[in-house]
Amino acid sequence: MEGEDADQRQVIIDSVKSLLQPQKIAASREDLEQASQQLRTIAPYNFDAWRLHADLLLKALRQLETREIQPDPSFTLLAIPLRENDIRDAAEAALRQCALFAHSNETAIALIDEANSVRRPTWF
Amino acid sequence: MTKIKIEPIKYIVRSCTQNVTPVRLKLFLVVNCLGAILFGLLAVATVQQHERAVKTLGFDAAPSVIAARQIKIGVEQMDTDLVIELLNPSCQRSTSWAAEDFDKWRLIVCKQLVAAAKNITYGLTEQTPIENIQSSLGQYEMQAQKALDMHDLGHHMLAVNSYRAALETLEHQLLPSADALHKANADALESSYGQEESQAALSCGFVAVIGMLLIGLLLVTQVYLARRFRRRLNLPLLIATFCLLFFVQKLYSTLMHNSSHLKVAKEDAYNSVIALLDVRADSYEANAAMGRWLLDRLNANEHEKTFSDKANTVASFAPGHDFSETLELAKKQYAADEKFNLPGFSGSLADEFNNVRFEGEGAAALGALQALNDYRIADANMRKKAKSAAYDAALAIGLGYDPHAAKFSFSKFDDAIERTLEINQYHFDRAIKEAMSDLKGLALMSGGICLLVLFCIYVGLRPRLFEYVRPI
Repeated sequence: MEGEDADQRQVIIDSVKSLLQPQKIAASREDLEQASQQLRTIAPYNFDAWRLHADLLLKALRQLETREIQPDPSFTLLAIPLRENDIRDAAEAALRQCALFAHSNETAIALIDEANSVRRPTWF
Repeated sequence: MTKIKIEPIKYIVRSCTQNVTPVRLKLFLVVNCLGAILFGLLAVATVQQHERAVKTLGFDAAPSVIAARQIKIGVEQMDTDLVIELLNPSCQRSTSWAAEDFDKWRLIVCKQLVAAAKNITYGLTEQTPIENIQSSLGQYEMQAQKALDMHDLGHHMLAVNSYRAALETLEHQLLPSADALHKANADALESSYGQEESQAALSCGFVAVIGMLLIGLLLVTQVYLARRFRRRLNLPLLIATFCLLFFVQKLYSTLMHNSSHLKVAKEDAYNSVIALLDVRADSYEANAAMGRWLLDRLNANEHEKTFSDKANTVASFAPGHDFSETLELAKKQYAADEKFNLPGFSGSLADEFNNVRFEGEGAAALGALQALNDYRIADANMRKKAKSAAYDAALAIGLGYDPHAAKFSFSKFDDAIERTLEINQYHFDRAIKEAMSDLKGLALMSGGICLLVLFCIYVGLRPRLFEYVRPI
């Protein structure tokens, strides 16, 4: 049973990965929603899963920044409303979680740096 | 062995040059902390250096220099009183004011001797003259008493002979010892004050530069954190920067203030005090020589020469200049509220005229010059009378207190010098007190600020460093 679960999870991860691959045409809102729904079926349990969460949120963030998609609080990705600051907070948290599962210190440092680079600017 | 020593250094240098956030953060933490510690140590050392300079001038050397000069003035006045007693008819001596004055000055000398002994700072160079003054003062008093006893018995020649022995002790033991005590302290003061002053100025500039560098470093850290962590301000670092900015400004302005107080104390007040004490010591010596000239007619030429030498040390004039011309010029400059500039005038009184700084000082110095002029006129009259065989008239001028007599103008001169001295002494004491109060608590504050800055640096950087710590 456990082996089957792992296989199923890997299939979902691969599918989401392919959705998030850079393509000629940018991922649409529907693509992001589909990836989000697929990811919600699996609990993030390792480095790859958290990385995928983070990548999905980062993809959405880039598209919000380039105005390819418009902010929409009623639309959620991984239960996060599609607003720049909320997406930034979630992406930062996901990257910090990812760093906890990193295999090396260098990777962990790079992930924390990345988390800090995407976080919303604050005064303190 | 070399490898073992070099490897960690190489490793540290290599690590520091890597653009890795936690390494950079640690580097900022270490460099900022070292900067804060260096600044704190330098600030404390600089404050202590300024304290030493104030202490040297105000408490170690100057009181001893003044005491040494007072001792010289005191023994000269004792000698003058002794001469006056010997010049008085023996029947009048017991009720003479000169005997009381002799005792008064003897006590002053003893008190100043104790003051100098209590303040020995420079070892044997001070101790030996004090011991010599102590022993020769006793000897002088015994010889003076012997002269008085002879005088009371009506043996004038024996009295004069005994007086010569007392004068020998005065001139060859007491006065050289008082001069040695003065020189020991004055030399130490000049050298240590000059040294401390230049070092204090240097360290004051250095501590300000280090403080500004540390502020710059804190700002660089702030900018790095803002860019790397997208946090615009790091509150603890901001507090540290402002505290440091405030403290560097306060430290620098306080030390500058302290230096200006020290300058007032040394260059404006102390130099005048010394010039005036020299005026007083030399004029008392001249006045004593004038009395001796009347008493000891056998050595009159020698005493006249001493008078002339000492009077010229106080005030002398280059060819083409004289008392009345200088006095008129000084009065004009004083009335026009100008700085005194008296060409051709030299001596210790001229030194004082060149260093008039405080309110009332110019008027008092002018009064002294006027009285000295009167005194020199009275002295010339006295010598003229004595040389024309009118010895009693000369005696009346030399010892009398009427407005044309020497004692009257000498008292006026002495009062004016004392007033000038009081003005300078007051400003000296005030400047030293203010210089000390400037520095009060500053060393402690430097230490406190240094600890606060260290704490702020740690508190400011610790959460950022902790972001990179992985749970085990």
